[in-house]
Amino acid sequence: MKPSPAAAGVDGGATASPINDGPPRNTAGAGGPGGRGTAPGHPDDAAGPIIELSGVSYRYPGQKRDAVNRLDLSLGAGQALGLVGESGSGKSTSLAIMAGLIRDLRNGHVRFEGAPLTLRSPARRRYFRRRVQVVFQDPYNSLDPRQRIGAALAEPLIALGLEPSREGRRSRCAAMLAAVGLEPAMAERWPHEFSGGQRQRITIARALLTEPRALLADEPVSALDQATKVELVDLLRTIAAQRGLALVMVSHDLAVVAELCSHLIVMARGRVVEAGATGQVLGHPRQTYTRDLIAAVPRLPVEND
Amino acid sequence: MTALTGPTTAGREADRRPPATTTDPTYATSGPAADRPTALDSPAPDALQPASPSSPAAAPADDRPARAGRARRRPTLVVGAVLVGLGLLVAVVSLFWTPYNLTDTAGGRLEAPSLDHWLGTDKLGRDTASFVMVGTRIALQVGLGAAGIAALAGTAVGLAAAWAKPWLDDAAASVFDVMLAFPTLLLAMVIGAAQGRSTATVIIAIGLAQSAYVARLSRILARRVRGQAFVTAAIVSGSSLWAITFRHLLPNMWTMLVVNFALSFGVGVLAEATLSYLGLGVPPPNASLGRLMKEAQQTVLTAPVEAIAPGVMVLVLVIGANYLADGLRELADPVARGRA
Amino acid sequence: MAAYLVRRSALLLASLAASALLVFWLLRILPGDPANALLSQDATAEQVAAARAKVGSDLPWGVQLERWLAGLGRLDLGRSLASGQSVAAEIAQRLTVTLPLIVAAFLLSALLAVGLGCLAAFKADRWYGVGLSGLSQIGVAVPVFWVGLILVWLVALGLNWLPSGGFPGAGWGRPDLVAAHLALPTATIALGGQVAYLTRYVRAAALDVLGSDYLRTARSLGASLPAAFLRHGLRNAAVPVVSVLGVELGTTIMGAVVVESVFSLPGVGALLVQGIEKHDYPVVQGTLLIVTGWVLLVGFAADIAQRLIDPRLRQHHSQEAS
Repeated sequence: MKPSPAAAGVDGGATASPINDGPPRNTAGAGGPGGRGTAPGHPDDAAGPIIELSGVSYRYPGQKRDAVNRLDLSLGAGQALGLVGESGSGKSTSLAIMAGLIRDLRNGHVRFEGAPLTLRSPARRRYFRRRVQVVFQDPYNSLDPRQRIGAALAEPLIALGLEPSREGRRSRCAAMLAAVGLEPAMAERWPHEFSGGQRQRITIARALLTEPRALLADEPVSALDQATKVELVDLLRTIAAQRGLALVMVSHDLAVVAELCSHLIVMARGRVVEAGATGQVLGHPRQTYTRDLIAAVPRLPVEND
Repeated sequence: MTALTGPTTAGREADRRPPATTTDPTYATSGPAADRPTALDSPAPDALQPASPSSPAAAPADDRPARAGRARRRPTLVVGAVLVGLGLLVAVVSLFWTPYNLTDTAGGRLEAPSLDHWLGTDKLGRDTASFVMVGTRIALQVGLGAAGIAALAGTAVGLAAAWAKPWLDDAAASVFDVMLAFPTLLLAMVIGAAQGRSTATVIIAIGLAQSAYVARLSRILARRVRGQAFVTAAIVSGSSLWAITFRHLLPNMWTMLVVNFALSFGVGVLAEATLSYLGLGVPPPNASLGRLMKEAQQTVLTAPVEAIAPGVMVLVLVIGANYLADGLRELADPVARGRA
Repeated sequence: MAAYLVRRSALLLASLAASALLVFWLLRILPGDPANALLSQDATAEQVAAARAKVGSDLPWGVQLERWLAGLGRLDLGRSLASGQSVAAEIAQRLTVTLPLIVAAFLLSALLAVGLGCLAAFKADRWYGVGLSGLSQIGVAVPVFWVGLILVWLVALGLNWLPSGGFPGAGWGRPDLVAAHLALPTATIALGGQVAYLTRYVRAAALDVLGSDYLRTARSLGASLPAAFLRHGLRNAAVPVVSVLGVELGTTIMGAVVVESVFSLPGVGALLVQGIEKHDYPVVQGTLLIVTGWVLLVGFAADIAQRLIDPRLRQHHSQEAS
């Protein structure tokens, strides 16, 4: 599935508008159960969005510009949301805010399952961390080189008190390794013994061990080669479907995002520029920025004869 | 990045020794490059590389034979271990036995080395060799004790600073820098000054004087590890700060801290000797190597061995410490790089 | 450059202030009252009170600090508890011994280090190049005062044409005597670790240059090795070396502190040691301040010098500013 080539270069008059045109709106993910049609939902699924950002603004210390500016974003249960945009558009920052990693916001609120997100009490913290997990970009950095795989996988189980017995942890980790296409015996090995693709599988396994409702992925396949990318994307799609996971994927690679996500949010300079169903946004982009983004995807020169 | 915005400091060593390593003088834990905070914060090539995070440095236990083999190929580590081991041996033996009692003045005065008195006698007829042995023990006590105090206090404070809010962390870094502007020997002199002099206070004084350096080192190391994605992953997995510190930070920091411990030990030995020489260190009748040399100074012409031998011992210990640090550093890095 | 100068000067002043406070604070948090220096073991309560009043340690710290800072402003460092003399005057007098010693030792170290370091670098593959490296290992591990002892022994053994201690009573009135008396102390400081330490840095910097692309280019264009090194390499090699030299000059004062004891020189270092021995707090405070002040000032000068030499630093800075 590739983005429609017809979008390239077509500029239909009145719909061309500057980036900051209109109030930042988000039409993607208006909550609601399931987003994938017949796929089973997560056991915890209730009506209402899982994570909601309203009017969020944040600026990194020492920066002159907001990383995100009056951002509205909503992730519904089971929904697959893609965050795209150039570097510096605020996608990763948005993800970090959704993951509860950035707390000192200048403006706006973050809601989790309808209630304001507070991580003050250990109980609330554990509850949130169970249900919202993160997969990071750099496979060479997201596993502690001094920790065996088994220990890395078991860490969330220990920290969140999800499995008191060592045997139980071992078997759960083994099962999860199998689920992501790896050998259970690999739990005894060290991160450096694995390739980038395998390490990403391990980090995905770690994220899935807590049986989360939502998986936030920050450019999970950017550091991988093409073939591995495809495998990992397939894995993510399968897993999300099987477990009714909501998925947020940040990527600068439109092709990857288009594969996985039913809805897209295009960001620029910390604000939402365009949002909607993937096919809609890619096929009929309303903003120049979006069009430029789509046009920038390299296409193989194919001879039509 | 390289703009020198921090106060230049000088206080790495007791009287400015020992600094870097045999193989790489730009190894910045004790050179001027280390004393300038910005050189450490920038990714300068040799400055303070913890074993690169993308590879393990701690070999699993079953790798020990291989590691011993590697050690054989590393002369610096072996030489260092042998030298320090020698000193350790002498010190331990002195706990149980010395050729003569320290109070025994039966020997003739200022005798030259002989079979009876291996290093001769001092002006009161006491056996020099016995004094040197006990002095070695004191040097080791102080060196290890001070390095230990510096490691514990410094690491704890450095870790705390790394976790603290940015403004507090910055304030801590500034405090470290100011403290480092005082040469270690100076700090130790002053800290030990007002207190009743005993071995314990000397250890504490030298230890505290060095802890600012360890604090800065561990703060930088901790921050570096903290910036890695796997620490964020641990936070997302729900691990507490304590758990992250012990499970992720310290395991990725300890190799550099151990190298620094070895260097610290050398600094401590030199500091103790110098303080004792100046009369500000371990009080009599403790047989500190420094004090031995001070007392031997007047009679250096007639009994040079008495003045030279303690110095040789200090030399052995400090060179050993330097080589050990060098070797340990080599062990930590290339193993990691090789495996990655 | 001007902006940097201002910033760095501000930092210098802040560091000096912080040091002054640290000195004050260090001496006060430690157990033991300064007044003890004036008292004997079995002093009566009144004697203790009188001594404390005299020394001023019965006043609250805030007041003591005020007084001291005010004194600093007037360049008055108080009076020695032991001798009653003005500390500032005493220090000024002794600086005439210590400063020349420091400068001479530093110059000697720098010259020897540059020479030996370059030699070690150019002949790194010869046995004496390697030997020099090994020697420097020993050089940095050796106690300064031990070097002094050995030098005294050697000189006294051999020729005895250099005095092994003391300072001429006439002071600088007899510069030839002064030179003779400062010769061994200077050599001691230099050989007692400084030369070895600096040599390693010079060697590393020189090796860097020798292995560099621009040097190879210059040589391929026909320049001889020494000429190419001097013309192109010097500036680049100078940067880290100036940095080290700067710090070394600063810490030479600690070498002086020890060496003055070895050779019984009436310098600032000896004053510090005596002050500590006798718990003479005004003396200790004053000398500590001078010592750290020296270190900070030299560091400041070294930073400025390095900024001037290294075009990259200046360029980077101007890019920052724009």
